[in-house]
Amino acid sequence: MNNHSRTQSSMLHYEQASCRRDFLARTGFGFGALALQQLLADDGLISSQTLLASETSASKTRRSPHFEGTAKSVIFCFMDGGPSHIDTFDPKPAVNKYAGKPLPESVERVITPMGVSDNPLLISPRKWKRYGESGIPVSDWYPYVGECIDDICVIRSCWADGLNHVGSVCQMNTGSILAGRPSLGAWVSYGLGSENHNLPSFVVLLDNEKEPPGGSRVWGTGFMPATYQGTRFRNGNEPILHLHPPKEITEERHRGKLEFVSRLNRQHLRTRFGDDDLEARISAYELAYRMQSHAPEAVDLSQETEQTQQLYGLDNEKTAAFGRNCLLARRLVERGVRFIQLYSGSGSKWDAHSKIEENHTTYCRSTDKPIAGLLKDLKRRGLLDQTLVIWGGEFGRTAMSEKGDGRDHNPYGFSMWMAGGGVKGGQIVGATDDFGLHAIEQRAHVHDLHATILELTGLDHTELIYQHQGRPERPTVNEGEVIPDVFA
Amino acid sequence: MLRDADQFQSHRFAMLKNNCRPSMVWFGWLLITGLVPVAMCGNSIAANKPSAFSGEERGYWAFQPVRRIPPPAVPSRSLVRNPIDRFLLKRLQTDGLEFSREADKYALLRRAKYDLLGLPPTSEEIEQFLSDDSVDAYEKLIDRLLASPHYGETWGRIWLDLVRFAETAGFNADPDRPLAYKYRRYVIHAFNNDLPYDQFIREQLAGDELYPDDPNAWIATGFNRMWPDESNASNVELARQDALNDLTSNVGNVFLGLSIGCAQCHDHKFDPILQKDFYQLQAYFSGIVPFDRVPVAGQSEYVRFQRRQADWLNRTAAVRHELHDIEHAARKAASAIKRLKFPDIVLDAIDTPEEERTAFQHQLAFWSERQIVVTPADLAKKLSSKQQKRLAELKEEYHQLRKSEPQPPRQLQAMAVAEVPTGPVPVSLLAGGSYNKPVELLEPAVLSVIDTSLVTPPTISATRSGTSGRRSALAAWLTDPRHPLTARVMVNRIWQGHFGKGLVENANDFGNQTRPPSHPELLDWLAIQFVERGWSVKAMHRLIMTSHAYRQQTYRPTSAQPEHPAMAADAGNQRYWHYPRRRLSAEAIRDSMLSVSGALNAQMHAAAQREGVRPELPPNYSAREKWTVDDEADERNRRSVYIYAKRNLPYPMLHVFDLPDMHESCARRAETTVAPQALMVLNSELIIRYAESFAARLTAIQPGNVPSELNHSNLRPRIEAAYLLAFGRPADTVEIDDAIEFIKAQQALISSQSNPPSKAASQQALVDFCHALFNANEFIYLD
Repeated sequence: MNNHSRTQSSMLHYEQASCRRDFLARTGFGFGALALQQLLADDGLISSQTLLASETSASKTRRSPHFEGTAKSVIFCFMDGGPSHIDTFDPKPAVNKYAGKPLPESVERVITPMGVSDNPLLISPRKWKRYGESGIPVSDWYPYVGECIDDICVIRSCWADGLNHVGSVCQMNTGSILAGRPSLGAWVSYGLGSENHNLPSFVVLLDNEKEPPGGSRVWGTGFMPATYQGTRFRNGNEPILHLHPPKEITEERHRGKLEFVSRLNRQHLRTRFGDDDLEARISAYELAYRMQSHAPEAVDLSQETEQTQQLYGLDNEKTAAFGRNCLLARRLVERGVRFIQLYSGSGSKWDAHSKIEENHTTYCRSTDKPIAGLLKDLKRRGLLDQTLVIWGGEFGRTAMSEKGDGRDHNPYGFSMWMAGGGVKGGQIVGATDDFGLHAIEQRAHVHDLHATILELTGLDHTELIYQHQGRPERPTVNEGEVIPDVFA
Repeated sequence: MLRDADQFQSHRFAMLKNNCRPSMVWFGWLLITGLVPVAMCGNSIAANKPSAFSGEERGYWAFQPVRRIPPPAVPSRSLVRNPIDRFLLKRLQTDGLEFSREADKYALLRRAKYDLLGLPPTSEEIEQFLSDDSVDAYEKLIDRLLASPHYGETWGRIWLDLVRFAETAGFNADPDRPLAYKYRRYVIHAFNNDLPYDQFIREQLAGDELYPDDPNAWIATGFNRMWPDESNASNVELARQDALNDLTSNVGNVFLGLSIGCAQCHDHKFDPILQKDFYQLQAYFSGIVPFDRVPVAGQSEYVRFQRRQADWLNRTAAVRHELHDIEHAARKAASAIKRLKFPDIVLDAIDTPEEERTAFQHQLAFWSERQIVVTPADLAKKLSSKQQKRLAELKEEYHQLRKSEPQPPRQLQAMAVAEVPTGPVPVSLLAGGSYNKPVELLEPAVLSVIDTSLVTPPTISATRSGTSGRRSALAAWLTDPRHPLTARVMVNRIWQGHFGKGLVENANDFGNQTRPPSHPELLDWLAIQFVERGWSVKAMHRLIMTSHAYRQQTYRPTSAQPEHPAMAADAGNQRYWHYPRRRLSAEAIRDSMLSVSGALNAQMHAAAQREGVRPELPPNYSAREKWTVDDEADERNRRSVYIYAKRNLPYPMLHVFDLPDMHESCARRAETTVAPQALMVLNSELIIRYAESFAARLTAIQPGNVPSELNHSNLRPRIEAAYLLAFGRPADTVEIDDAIEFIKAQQALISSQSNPPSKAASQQALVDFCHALFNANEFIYLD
């Protein structure tokens, strides 16, 4: 038997020596091996006792969190390229007062990628409106989201370490500006396992063909095994790469081949009875086959009513791309997918170094109605309480102008927001200075945001540990504190 | 076993809880927010640390001398083939266990061939080995395999994993490193030539200092440049520090088998490695300057060249300086906006003529100059007509002068490093690991915990002029035969390559977060053999592979059999009572499909002198990354080790089977079993094309095409050949009957579904059979 140190393990949040049954339970996209076990039992290949043992471990597929979390699923809307916080959720009258002039001497200068520290400030022509009972101001770039503000907690004091896109997107996903660490979705999959045996537990959706900076690595697992990686769903009815055989191979022919593979593998297993790895691979084939029918069903938006489709803006070409992904995210949440990441403008399209008016008008509009639709739809279905929705980018933007009509990157202070999943809505946490440059109150580093998100899902970021090269690795790189005010 | 594991875990967890949290986080936060004056935090960090290590720390097994232990006597001699077996048997017999019997010849051949060459045995090799009845048939096989150039392609890959080899720099732009392929070629040749491991270390760490007349040694220094690198880094000093940190950690992982990187921000939480040790080790590397073109010259020759070059620089100073001043002023003006992003220290470096830069300035310029490139047209715009005229005169004059410029005997293009005459850059301990929080200047030194009476600490002396000799000194220390780690770490890697796991399970971390070696005496015995056999890696393969332990069969139970008694004592096979079944590596899986289908181009290296081979991608795979598929099928079908190692686009077919990330040292690959692998092998058109080639190859084994009517007699030889090619063994009659039944059923299905009935149905059914073999467990698992 081959159960020497493998990468999977039964000890929660520790990867060490594995127990063979648990390995089975967690192969594939984290699913149980029951179908195969049943098959083997039918064949008289394994005893009913073994079958029982495997059932027990298969139930671990859904792993117990450290404590009861409020969020069962997370939907992270990632505005790729860096949305301007001072034009959306963090109004700064002083910016307009000083427009055309540099920052006052008293404001500490920072390094920015384009060296705009001493550039004149760029006016923000936004109109702000106070929404809801909470009266939180939201700009005219996000009117639909404004309507949901009483469910939203705006964190205005975020800060990060990166200056450029790739490092910053990497950090917002993995905690580090340097590549090589697992993404937050991978940590959640690792910590909580899957609720659905036929779909991946971590799904990534892009609104266009370009990938975000760093490519698939930002939903990768770094030093963790690939089991926990995000799966990019592609557009169309074949969301997963190689989901179906080439067209010329008919369903019957494909199934015939699969059955033969299964016969070969069972024959092989007869004299290698009980080998976990071999059994796991047989199971992975079973799962692959089930996914061929389940994944297309999950992404079939024609099952949604016209009213629902309109709620997400599917009837308007300007909002349809991101709207489809938002609606898809809700369907995936309903099917037990743990972590769904939606990239808006993937490929740094929010990066408005020039012509921010044009750029953000387009991208805010493309996300406003879809995100509001998502919040409203989740709420009316009673899912918002158990689904954490996050909005933000890798950093914010500067008050200082670039090229006369754009804004540079600002990782020193920016806004993100969270809603649902146990978040206390209708409140603002933290603050930036008068120019939105530095976070000054209740500063929330990326690690703090990650700690908070994990806490909402029931995972203690200090106890979520993966052993790597002799180092107990945590998602928050041994830093980070939960932001207490966020919780309801 | 499991209980041990639990205890080990809880012990570790307790340590973690006690040690790792609040103080450090809290302190780091104070530092970041600038609430603690740096000087003070230097003191408090220093005050925090023990002046000496505890006896337990100094006595840790990995820091003790390698012991010379005679192989133990064991009663049962029948299953002892060499001393390795005695060490293993001794332990087995303590628990009343014995080795399993020897594997059959088919399994042995397949195992040995994949282990050394990463390829399936050919029918000829099977025939040759099976028919060789001599007593040393197996030994001859090992020698044949070790002599094959494919050996370096497989074992070199293990080294490439360790040094996180890539042909691109990573980050957003992920630009090409067009010379990186030379390093890969160097590594493959080093393994093929059985370059002694100590020499391999010296060349990689300090080839420029020690062997400046050897082009290979220059190429080897590419080791020092494997770090990911952001082409448009905004914070240049941080980028420089990140690269040095990455290199320092890698040196710790690769050569010392220690997680030194953990000591970057604070003293190591578990091992006796001080934060100071991290930066002292870094000081050996602080002088390296990346160069893509280097002079290849012997030492005296090089000194002469340098002298003549200095003369020439002197003679031409006036012209060069005037030229530089005019051009530089214009360049500055043309790049004024781009220059805004850099602080003065970086701009000063850029503004200093290259020949006059310090090592630090060279390094800063390396990360910044490429960001402010000015086109000749833009440059011209910033020059007055008078200046343009003068510039033209100067250029002409300079052109004439260059005719007398001394040339080194040979120039080499390589991704290399070297020092410059101004010497290395001072290194400080950095508070919390922050590049801009230096605390205390440090001199180069090796780990303080290692007993200086055991290995003489490095003494630095310049090996030639213009370089400090720091890295040569470090290499000399590492390759000291008495070094407690170097040989142990490498023999453990070789052992892992043959048994799937090392005697020390984490080959990159011999620290106390890893279980102590399962067989400490054997580890030491092997380490001594390694050094005594001239650090020959091939000698170690021969030694390990000719042991009975390696030649055992895997555990082959059936459901009808009672469980082997050894299962109760050692289900995890910690004691090697059978050979562990293993999955093929990503490369071996792809190479096997190509090889079995007859499509593999087994020529070494890529055809062009450039970055790696680019085979087909899945349709619409990534719109972001450039990947121009090679035109020639032959080029696309080269061995996987030559595939373009692009950090932002690891080749999908390899990636899905756990190709490492190329950002961190990978000592042992993950072996995941996930559904996307099944989808890839089942549904990829590319793999189906490989199956078509395989089927065509089977068709051709008998004259004429496959008859339209398939029957027992014309299918049988083809199925037999297929089993031999794919699984390295003959098919039994049940398997043949099964296969015939399947092929006939598929043929019937295909012709019933095509309208009009397809004549190619029989061939397609054969393709389905071949494709099924690719998907079978037996294809990717080794017994």
